[in-house]
Amino acid sequence: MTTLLEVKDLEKHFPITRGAIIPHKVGAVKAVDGISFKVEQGKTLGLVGESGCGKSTTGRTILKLTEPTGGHIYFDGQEITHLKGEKLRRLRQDMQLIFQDPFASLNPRMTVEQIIAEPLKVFGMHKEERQKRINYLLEVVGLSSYHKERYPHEFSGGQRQRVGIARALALEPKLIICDEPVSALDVSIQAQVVNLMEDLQKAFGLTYVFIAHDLGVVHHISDQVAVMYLGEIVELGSYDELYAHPKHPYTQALLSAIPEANPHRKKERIVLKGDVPSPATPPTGCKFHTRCPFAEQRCRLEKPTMKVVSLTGQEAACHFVEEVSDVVG
Amino acid sequence: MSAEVKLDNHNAAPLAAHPTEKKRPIFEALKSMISSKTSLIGLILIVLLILVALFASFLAPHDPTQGDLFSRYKSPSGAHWLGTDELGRDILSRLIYGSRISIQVGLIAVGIALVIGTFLGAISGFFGKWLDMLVMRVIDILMAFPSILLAIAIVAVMGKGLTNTMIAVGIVGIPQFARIVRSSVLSVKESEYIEAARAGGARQFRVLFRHVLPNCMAPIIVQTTLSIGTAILDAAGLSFLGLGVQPPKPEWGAMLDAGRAALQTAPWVVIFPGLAILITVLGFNLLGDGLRDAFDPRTKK
Repeated sequence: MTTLLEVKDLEKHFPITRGAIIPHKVGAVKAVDGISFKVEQGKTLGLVGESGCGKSTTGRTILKLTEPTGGHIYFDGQEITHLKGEKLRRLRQDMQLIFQDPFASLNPRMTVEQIIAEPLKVFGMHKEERQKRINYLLEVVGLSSYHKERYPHEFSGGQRQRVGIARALALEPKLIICDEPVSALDVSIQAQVVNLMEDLQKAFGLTYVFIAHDLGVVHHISDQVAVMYLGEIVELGSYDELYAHPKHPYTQALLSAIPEANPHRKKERIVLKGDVPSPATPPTGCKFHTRCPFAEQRCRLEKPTMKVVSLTGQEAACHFVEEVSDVVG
Repeated sequence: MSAEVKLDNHNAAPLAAHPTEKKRPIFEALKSMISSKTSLIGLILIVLLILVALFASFLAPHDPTQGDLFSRYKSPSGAHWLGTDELGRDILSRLIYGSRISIQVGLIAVGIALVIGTFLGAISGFFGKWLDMLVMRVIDILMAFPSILLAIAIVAVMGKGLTNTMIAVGIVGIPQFARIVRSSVLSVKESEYIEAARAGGARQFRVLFRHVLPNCMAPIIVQTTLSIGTAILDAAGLSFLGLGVQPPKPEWGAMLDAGRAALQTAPWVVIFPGLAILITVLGFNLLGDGLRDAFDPRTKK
């Protein structure tokens, strides 16, 4: 197993500026605030968390669509943190993105053929070869070649997402960042698309970073899961372990929110109070203390670090890992 | 490239039974435009004007520059439908030939404004930062002058004549295009499909011209149509002041100026060119308004 992607202490702070004539920085929104993880070749890392916790920003920063403000990104053994210009453009062949909103992510003025052909053209593929490749890609994602002439608005959400997947596959990337690829779709279509993505992963040996806000979807596809809260990873581990023995109170709350199919099975529901604090003025100490049912004085003052909490390498950032897991587990 | 991998398509997307009809936004817009009465009137006026300009040599009953000093200031009659001017030239014929100049001025002046304004607006909206600051401040300076005053100043520097009139009117039109294009570029460049294009490895200029600008077309088309009317009016204004098209060329603004002296005794010399300008500008404005409504999804039923 080789590590394809490694992220170390990645930070993305968006400056808040005031003043129209002489803009000056008055603060920063800490969208991503020092996260680290590794993804093995051919595996899937699920990245979960509430809206606004920095999942999408993490994805975009890894792809260098936004410039990181701190930390390091290693891709395929090479540091890409501050890659620019032509080198960055070349790198794009190996990393692609699937978007959340299949309605916003396809250019409404281009046909499906033009959309998929775009990256191929940019990297100089010849016309006949391109045609073959487009037909092949359409077939792979479950569309037909007669869809080529159509415009995005003529498709359903699921079909559009397939077009988006075909575009992401066009350059044969090694890594695909999937930014909530199914959350805009109907539940019935979600399963289809997730299955398709799993098949594609097997067929092409793809590595995924799969961003989602619900653990149920992540379950299907992830080997590893990272739980994010306010720009930080609070727990990291294999899905099964995380599901069976959640160590961090936030993970427990998230897990308890997964709908239960069996109405007779009683499940203890942990309902978090209040809203996510503003990432511009995050709480001191443990960022989760404002909403944590177990919070104590220590949590307000001292920031917990990621600790290995099991033999298989599950990690969590909580002062009271043992106590908390006793209560729930 | 890669080995072709065969997947069993057990999750092929359900396909529509009937391939839907091809609907391009531009055709949709045209259709909804024709269904609105006012924009239809505008369209008819403009089409008529273009036909008149194209077939001027067949339609004009007299030579537009050939005067007859024995029939000066003749009121409208069977021989001269719209009367004659101070040199005895047939006003109808002059109006018909004048439409060519007006259309020429309108198209070329707006063409200049469109190309330069769109380019400036696009790069300043797309690249932002100091470039945006620089371009937009220059545009602000241009906008600080009343348009006709600025046009007069430009013609005063470059000299009279048709070509310089078109250039002056064109420069005057640049700020509006630049601002409109800049604002739509600002909104379009944040869309996900632009991010997708970047992620696909497209270079900056390709992203701008292949992905951003085509999605800013609607406001640009509307502004173009509306601007043609204004440009014709500005050019007529310059000619009226004697700075634009020079006699004996039959330009509507110049005709107004020439007839001014006899306003009380021979009002038709002024009325008909004035009406011609009015109808043309009205036509372009109605068409522009119709296009704007047609492109605006909020006005769709």
